[in-house]
Amino acid sequence: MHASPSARPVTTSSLTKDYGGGAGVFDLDLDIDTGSIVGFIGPSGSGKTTAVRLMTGVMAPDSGTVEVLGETPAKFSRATRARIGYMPQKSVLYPDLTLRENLNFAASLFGMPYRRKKTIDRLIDFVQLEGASDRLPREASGGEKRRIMLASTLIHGPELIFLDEPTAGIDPVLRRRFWDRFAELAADQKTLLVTTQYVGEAAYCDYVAVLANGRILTFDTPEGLRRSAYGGEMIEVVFSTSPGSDDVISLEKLAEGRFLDWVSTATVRLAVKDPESAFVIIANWAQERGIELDKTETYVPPFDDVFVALVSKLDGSSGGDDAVAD
Amino acid sequence: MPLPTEHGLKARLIRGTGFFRKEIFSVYRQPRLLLTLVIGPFLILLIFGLGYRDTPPPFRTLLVLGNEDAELAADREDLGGAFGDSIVLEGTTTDAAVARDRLGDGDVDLLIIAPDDPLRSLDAGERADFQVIHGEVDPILRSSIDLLARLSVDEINRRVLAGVVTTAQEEAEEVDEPLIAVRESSSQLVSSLEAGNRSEAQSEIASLRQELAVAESQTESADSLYSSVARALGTTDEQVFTHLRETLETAESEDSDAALEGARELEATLEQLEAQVTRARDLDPDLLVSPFGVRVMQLNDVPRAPGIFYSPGTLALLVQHLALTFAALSLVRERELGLTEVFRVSPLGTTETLAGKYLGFGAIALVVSAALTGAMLLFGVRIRGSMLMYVLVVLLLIVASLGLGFLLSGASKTDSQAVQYSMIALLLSIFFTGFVLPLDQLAAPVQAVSYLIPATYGIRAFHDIFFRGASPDPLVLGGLALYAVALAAGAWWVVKREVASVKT
Repeated sequence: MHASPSARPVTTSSLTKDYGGGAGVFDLDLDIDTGSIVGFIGPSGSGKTTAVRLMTGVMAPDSGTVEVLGETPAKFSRATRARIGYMPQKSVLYPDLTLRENLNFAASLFGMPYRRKKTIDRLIDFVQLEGASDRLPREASGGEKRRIMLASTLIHGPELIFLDEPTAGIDPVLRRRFWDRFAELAADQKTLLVTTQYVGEAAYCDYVAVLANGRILTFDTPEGLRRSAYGGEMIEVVFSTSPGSDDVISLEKLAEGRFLDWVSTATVRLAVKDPESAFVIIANWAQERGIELDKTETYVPPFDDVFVALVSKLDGSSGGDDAVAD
Repeated sequence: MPLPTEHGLKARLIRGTGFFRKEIFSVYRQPRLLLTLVIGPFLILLIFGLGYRDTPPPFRTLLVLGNEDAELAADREDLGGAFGDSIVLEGTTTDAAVARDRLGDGDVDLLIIAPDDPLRSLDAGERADFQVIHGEVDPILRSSIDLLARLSVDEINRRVLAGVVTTAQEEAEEVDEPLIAVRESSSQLVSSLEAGNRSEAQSEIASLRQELAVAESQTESADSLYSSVARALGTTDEQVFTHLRETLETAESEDSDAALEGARELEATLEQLEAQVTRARDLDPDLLVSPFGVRVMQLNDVPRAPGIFYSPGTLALLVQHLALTFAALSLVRERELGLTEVFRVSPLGTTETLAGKYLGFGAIALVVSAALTGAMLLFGVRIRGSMLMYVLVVLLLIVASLGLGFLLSGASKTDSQAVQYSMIALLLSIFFTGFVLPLDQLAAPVQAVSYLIPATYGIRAFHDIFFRGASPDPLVLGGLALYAVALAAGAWWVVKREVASVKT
């Protein structure tokens, strides 16, 4: 999965852009591998778009370095820019051209041959705009505009793709299709850097950078993020009847201060180092105390929860430590 | 799978044509903008052209006479006529205060106050002034009144002089008969002297003395009349009768040859005088007092109608306004939409961007120019010069205007600011390009402003091509070409800054 450092499409070191008043991005250190999908996740104003602009050369950094496809963005050659696809956060379309004409114009920007109708039709099919491609942007919905923007970004087959909130305003079904397409592109050795406010979309990424206040809080795989957020893997234990208070205290002692969350009086989720070992330990504990268990299983928390837990943990306002229950 | 992209020149061509098509489609989808930019100003100028009169309406005038019995009062109709068609005589009054009230109330536009006693002023060696009073504030109308007053008083002076001449001619008729008698006697004197008949000659001389005395006594003023006529006709004799008597004395000489020579000179002088008096009497008095006229000739056959004169200028202004506004809006709109951010990440270069925009907007401006030219031809405006030269000037004007528009676009933060700049350019063009006021009426430093506006070159070149049937002044044509190139270089820099530079 990881390419050699010299072949990395994006590398940044202490990359900083300071707008003043705490806004901007600070000390961004990133190494992105070829063929990976890297998600930039964070709340509004966390610096996702600025980071993308610095990497695409739209904006120059105040300090630090950034190298994209072996070049400094400020000095991108034409050939390098032809290898990059960029979808800005805002849908930027000519208001007096139809969606199809906008896509055709984008194709011309990248020097695509004049006989490109089939390619355009295929992309329009992919973004499900068959019946809407002759609409003017003012007649199109926000989602339709995002879809044509995505098509415009992908039309020239770029090998490095920057997508700034590509799924904003897109319905869940099409959003899933987008991510499937991103996975296909990654499988085809294209590198994607995707920003999103949909924390759940982190699950589709190979790596996720969580940003807050212009800094990367953590950069890891989705699984790594879950572990990092909760201090281990999550399991869910469902009791046949609600355990008594002694049993609860006993279980919390067993957890030894690790993340533990009673989601109901008969259901508890807790972080463990190894789920399989934990299932055995909990089964023995229940048997010793005469408690009947309905089920014990691995629990995959949604990334919204992971994100909240992670931010809380990194802010130091939440409990949990590095120790993991067995 | 996407198609492989082209590289090098072919890719640049594809990108340039992409912009060309985009600009054409964008304008095609904004018919209202096109109508606003072209039809709006065109209609305004058309209505102006149709409704504009190159002469102001006649001034409603009240004639103020100092004394109803004055000589001028009797001639007031004639006096009114002296002011020509520029004045409508609303009446006469002897009450200057009432007249001023009517002027103040706006009942009349002008008061002409005649001098009380012009003859007394003349006797005193002074001019007798007419007073013209008005309340006009418009400087052009004030100049018209000044000119009208001068021309009118010249006309009055001419009429007075013509009256004097007519009187003199009537007097000349009174001296005509005695003059003929004197001349006939002089002829007989010559015959007698040639025949050597001295006694008959003495008798003729005596008759001549008497006839000269009669002629002189009958017209006391004749002598001055003759002398003035003689001066007017090129002779140097100021005292005609004195001269005649002196010549007659020569004819009395004892020497026959000298006497005959004197008699012949007398006869010749009298024949000449008779011919001069007859000529002076028969001359038109108006011709005598205004011997010189003026005829203004025009080298071309351009109709005087203001609509025709202003048409080429209007075309230049409209073409400039259209091209400039499209260009001014173009870059700033792309910036506002956020498209320049996408351009910066694409392989798009400055040259193909600019070339595509120039070609796209240029094609639209060219089509509009052709339509406006057709409309002008329908209205009877003729292109007397070379059509090829006309097309060249239109093209250069479009290129220069687009360049200026791109510069303005670079200086605009929003599209409404770009529109404001283009309106300021239109306003500047109306006053500084020679469209309304001749360029020569602008002071030299201000004329520099004129030559920053492409339409200045366009209007000058169009006047040569449309009206004089000539090629434009090479300095104007070359200046426009150079200016278009300079503006294109500026536009290139602006576009490079917009689409190819990294924001700091």
